[in-house]
Amino acid sequence: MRIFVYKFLIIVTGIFILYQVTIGYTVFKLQQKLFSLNSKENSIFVKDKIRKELIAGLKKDKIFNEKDRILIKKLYKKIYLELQSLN
Amino acid sequence: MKKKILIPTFFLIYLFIGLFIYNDYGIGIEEHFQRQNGFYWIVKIFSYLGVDSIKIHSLELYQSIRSYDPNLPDSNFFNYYGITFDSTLAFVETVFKINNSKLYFELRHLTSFIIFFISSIFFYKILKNRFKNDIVIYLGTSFYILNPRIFGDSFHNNKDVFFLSILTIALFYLFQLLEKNNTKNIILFCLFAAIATSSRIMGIYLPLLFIFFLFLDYLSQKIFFGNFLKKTLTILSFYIFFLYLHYPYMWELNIFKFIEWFSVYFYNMDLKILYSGEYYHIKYLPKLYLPVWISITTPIFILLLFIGGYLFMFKRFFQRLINIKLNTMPIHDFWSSVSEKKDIFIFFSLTSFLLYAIFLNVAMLSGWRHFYFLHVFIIYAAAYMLNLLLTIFKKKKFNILYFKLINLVFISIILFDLSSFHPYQSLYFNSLINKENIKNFPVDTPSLSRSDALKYIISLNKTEDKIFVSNASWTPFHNGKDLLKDYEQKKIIFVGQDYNKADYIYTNFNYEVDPRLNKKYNIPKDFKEIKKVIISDIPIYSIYKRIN
Repeated sequence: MRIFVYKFLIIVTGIFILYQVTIGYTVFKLQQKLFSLNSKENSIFVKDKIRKELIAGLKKDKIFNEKDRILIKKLYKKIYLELQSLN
Repeated sequence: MKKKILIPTFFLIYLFIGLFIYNDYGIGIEEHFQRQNGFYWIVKIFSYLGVDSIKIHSLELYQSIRSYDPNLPDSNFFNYYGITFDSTLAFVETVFKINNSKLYFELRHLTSFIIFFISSIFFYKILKNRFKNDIVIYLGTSFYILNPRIFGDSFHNNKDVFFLSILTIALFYLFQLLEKNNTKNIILFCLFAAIATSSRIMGIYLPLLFIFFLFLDYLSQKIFFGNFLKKTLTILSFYIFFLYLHYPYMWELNIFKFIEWFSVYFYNMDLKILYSGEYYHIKYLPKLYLPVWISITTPIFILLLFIGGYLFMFKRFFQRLINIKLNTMPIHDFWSSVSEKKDIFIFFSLTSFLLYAIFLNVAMLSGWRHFYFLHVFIIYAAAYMLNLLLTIFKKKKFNILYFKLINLVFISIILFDLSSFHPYQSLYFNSLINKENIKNFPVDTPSLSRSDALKYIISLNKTEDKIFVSNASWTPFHNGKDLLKDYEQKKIIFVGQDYNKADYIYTNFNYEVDPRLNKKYNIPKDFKEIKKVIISDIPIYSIYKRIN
């Protein structure tokens, strides 16, 4: 009985530690990441980043390159025609 | 004869120093809430007892605290810890009608210190019963008292250091119980274990681990099953009785909703804290949060002794474990003597709590103060190492004088740190932290510098009627005024983060948001720094003054 209980306790402790350093740690890292993505600071950071990019874009002579301009123009025309066809 | 004088003198000097300096300390961040909780408990207890006079007066005080500071956490929700200290102090405040805020906070500090002082005597006795060697006992007791963070917190941290103190006393009676199983020891152990549990739920581990040790005794056939059962029931009965006697939280528990009893203890705030240069949610801190905090805030000498002691304890435990044989007792078991059993108890306690903190996502903030109770195990392990070192010294026939001298040098360094950090010993960092990497860790998390900053601002404006002060940190700055004199309190007007209205801005560099991304605590350009308190490269607080 004594040896059985000791072995049982050692195995349970071993499994607990093994689980925690493998699966448990992966889950923990995911949770940690989720919380940091959700955070207010993160959204402030993203907003700031967008703002900075817009300011930088406005300072340039042309915002888009030739290829993008054609692409956006085509997209704009298509959307415009689709909206026109509604009525 | 010499020994008879030495020990009382040592404790008397410590007591006098404490009595001399207890009113130098600022108000801890939780003290206002704890004071409020004290009145909450008093109202509850005296409602049950039907004593209206005290109940009514306490209720008035409780409501006045709530209306004065509605931002304090609600006692109706956080009503599950701290009953002994808080309600006793609230009772004293009510009965003696103490109306001066400076006085009642200083009274809390004095009481907190005296309880820790008493616990240091019990710790001395624990070491005396275990180690027999005077040098180890004196050094161990000195480490228990002089560890800077614990020394500082013993004056204002009425929750964590109070728990540490009660745990130490309970541990003493537990060890007495291991030596001599009599009713007196059982009652005293259960009483202090119950008080420890009502202070912090962690105290529940004391009777549980003790029962586990009884079970190991039974497995080793040192006691019969009947005896094991009888002892277990006796311990549990006394423990629950004492807990029920003084813990109103238990009076309202529904016996059929057992799971809900403990759910409140797992509540955590939705908060982010700085650790190692990054901001983390308190529930998802890096795994090494606690070990790192212990390593950077414990004097290096004590830290090394602790690590050595813990490793040797582990080695001894492991050797015992692999040598366990079925029919050869008592030598081939976890322990062969009561002293060894005590060591294993400390080893189990420390290991369980470290594993708990590392693996189970425990919410922590303000450094490691929620785990300050580990201090008693840490110092025990350090004393264990000292004992081993001393044995080696004696075996190798080295001169003990060298051993004494080395320790004296390190004690002197700790004493020097204690005096240079005064009254901010609670914000101590060891030499692993320097001018550069201190930015990665929060410093004044207990908000101790608030009162000193206000006193300084008042000293600059003796003739002014009103001084507008702002706060550029995450700290309840306004509560710092309770250590000022009444007429000084009336002068100060707090304007939060409305810097436009402020004459002065205070910051203790403690933020709940990342200041690199969130600019709400940025000091406006029309303010100039007029004071910065730095101790051993650790920035404590700054005061800025409007320049135009």
